[in-house]
Amino acid sequence: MTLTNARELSAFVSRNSNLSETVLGEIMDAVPVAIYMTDAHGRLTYFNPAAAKLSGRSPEIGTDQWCVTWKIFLSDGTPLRHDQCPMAVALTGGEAPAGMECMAERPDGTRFWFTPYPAVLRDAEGRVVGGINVLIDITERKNAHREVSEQFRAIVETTPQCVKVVAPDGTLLFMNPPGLEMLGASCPAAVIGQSVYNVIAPEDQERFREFNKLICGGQRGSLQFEIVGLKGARRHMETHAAPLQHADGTTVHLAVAHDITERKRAEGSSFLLSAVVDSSDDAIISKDLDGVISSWNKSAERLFGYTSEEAIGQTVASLLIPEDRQEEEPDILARLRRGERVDHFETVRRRKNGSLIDISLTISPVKDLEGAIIGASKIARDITESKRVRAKLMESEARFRQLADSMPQMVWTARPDGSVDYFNERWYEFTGFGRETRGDTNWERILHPEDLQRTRDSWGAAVSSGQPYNVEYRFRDRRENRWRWFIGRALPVRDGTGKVVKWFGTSTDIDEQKRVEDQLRRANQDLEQFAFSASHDLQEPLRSIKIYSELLMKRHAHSLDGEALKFMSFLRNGATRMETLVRDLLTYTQATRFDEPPKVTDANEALKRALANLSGAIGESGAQVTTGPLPSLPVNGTHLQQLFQNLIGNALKYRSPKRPPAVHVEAERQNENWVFSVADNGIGIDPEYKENIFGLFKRLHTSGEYSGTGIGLAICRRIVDRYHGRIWVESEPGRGSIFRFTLPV
Amino acid sequence: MTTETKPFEILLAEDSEGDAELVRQALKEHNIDCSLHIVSDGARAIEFINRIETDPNARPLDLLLIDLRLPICEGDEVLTRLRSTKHYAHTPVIVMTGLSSSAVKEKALRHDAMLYFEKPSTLDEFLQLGSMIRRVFEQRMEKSGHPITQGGAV
Repeated sequence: MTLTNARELSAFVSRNSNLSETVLGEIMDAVPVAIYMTDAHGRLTYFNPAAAKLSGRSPEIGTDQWCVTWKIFLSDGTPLRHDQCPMAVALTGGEAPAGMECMAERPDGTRFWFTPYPAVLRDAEGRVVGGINVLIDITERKNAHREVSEQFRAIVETTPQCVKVVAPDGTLLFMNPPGLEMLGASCPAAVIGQSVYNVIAPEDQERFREFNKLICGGQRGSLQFEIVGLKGARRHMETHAAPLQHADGTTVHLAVAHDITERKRAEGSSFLLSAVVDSSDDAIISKDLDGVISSWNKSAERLFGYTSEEAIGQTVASLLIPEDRQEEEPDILARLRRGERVDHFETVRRRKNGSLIDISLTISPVKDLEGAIIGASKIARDITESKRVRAKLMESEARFRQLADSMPQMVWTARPDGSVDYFNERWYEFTGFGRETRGDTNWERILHPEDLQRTRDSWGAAVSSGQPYNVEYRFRDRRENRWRWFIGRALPVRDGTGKVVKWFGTSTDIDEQKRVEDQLRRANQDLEQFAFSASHDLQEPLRSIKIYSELLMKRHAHSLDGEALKFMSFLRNGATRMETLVRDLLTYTQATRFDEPPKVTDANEALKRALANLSGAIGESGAQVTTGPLPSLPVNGTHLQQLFQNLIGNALKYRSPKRPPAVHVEAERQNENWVFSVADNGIGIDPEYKENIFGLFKRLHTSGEYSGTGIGLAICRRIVDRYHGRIWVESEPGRGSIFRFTLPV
Repeated sequence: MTTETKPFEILLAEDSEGDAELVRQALKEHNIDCSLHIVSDGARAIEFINRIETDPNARPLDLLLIDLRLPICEGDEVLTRLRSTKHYAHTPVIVMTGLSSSAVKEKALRHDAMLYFEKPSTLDEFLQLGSMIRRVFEQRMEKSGHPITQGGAV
């Protein structure tokens, strides 16, 4: 008889009380299940042998009440009162709880577990006349269950994982020793009975709270969270939890958790690795020693057009290598088997769409833990663009060399460190050096010893500063066996970031130019010396002519006739005029003789001195001289005074007869120059003579009209030239002139 | 070279005969009573200085009139020699020069007891040299008591 049929048996007996008692009694005596019957008051009217065996005694029929006889307990160990016995409950008309598990103690003290299935017997009128109870012995099952509990306890205590029980409010009810160890708790009391949140990382507490609620609500689940041990160590935990019925009827949270810190770390780094592989611009492929592809990153997909699903499992040879390069792969595989690496091997591969692609391959053998080579990882880089750039560079370099070789100068290029890496044909022609000598400092071998250090220093300074190189030096001309002057110039070529990538230099023969310059300078010096001496020495005889003609007139006028007196006056006028000329000529040659570095001069001061020297002419002509603001500038003060004096003097001299002269002087800044202007309202200058007037002894008028030697403007130009300035005139004849000149700031 | 005894001894180092004559005219114009010794080059000027320095009977020099631009030996050397003597280290000197040139002027003024006369181009101005010489002698006279002029009005 099965357990489930016990209830049916009780019901069957109660329904068929009209069956022959003998028959029923025989049946009930025969079944191996404890059955007993009572009257309406619970007094025993029958029990079968199985019942006697189970109870451990033979009760008195008609007097004993079944339940008084035994000590009965509920499954949690609490004693059950008599009137609460399932049979008593059933007889008083209550609904006897079905399937409850009870424990009873025999007179000999042994215990057994059973489940009662009581039923009520009624007469024809439906009155309760008695009861029948079938008791199923569940001791064996219960004991088996206890064994399981023992085993469970053993497992919990020996498992390396953390087993814990958490109350709905978060109180930690139980934790096994490995769990305590993970928390760094030296004794259970340190954590058990405390809040579990004490050891959960703050950021995970809310999630754990939700999870705990879920489990205590009767669900199962898993959670990853971090704990912070009592000593502060963080660990990643993965917990699998199920609801557990607690003895007090509440549902608590039973969990088995294990430390996944290491796994997390490994996951993290492999995640990083795969992120690197995936984000790489290079195709990264791994293959085994037969060339079968085992991994294929995103760039491989992009580069070759095959998805990883299409590529993995295929051989490199069949998928990527063009027909005419099939022999490459066996060679590569052979090298890999020998443990060799293939570095920057440039080749061609085929895309999915059949097009070819220039790539650079780097292939390294992959070894297993024992060190055996099991495959290869392969990095493929698209070099189509860099090949194109390289080809273009070579083309432009070839063009440059062609151009350089056709130039009459010596041309060279140098690396950013200053070492020469190219000379054009002219160099080899001039030096007679072999072409294998390029790249060292062989240019020093033909350099004049006196120029060596200076040239080296200039080149060193240019290379370290990135500034243009510009230096003059002498090279030995082996054909003429003499030194020739050259000018060396070089400019840096920079990349997009401003870094010098190359120097382009030239060396130009300036020997002839240098000689001419020297000659010219010497000639100029001679001429100046000559003009100075000549004008100086011419003064002396002139002075004698003048003074003795005066003396002659003073002492001997009475003995001269009219014609002699007239000739004497011509003689004296000529001498006076020549004296002026010579004096002006001297001024002219001296205008730029002072070569001391000019100090800063206040133009207002220079103008004041000029006006003081001209005060006679200004007063006599009734001229109005006005000035704008004038600057201070690095020009010799005497030079500036001479400029003002000559130009204002001219303005007064060439005044219009129709109006009193008005002169305005001002200066204006233009970039790195001051532009001075001296404007007048005089007779003006015909445009035809605008250039001529600055020439030496150039005069536009006869000495009868205007006196002068024609040297004033020549002096002005000479002074302005000396400062690399410019002087010119703007004029409207009859209205006036504006003389302008520039001087450095 | 004159031998007659005069109150003042002047050495004129001048290569231009015209200018030497004008100096003589200037002295005459200002009635300065002196013996004028004229040499036409620097070497002769140095010889003259050497002679009066070593000859105990020579008449001492009261003034050197010198044009710095001299043949053979530059006027500068003559001045250096004069300043190196025992007796004439402080003798007055008037430097005459044809053209104003700051370089010449500076060179002249480096030597002690120096006056500077720029040869002018008019007669009147040239004759002013006489009054400059006169002032020099007036200062000397305060020490020695010599009369400057040969009678006549000053």
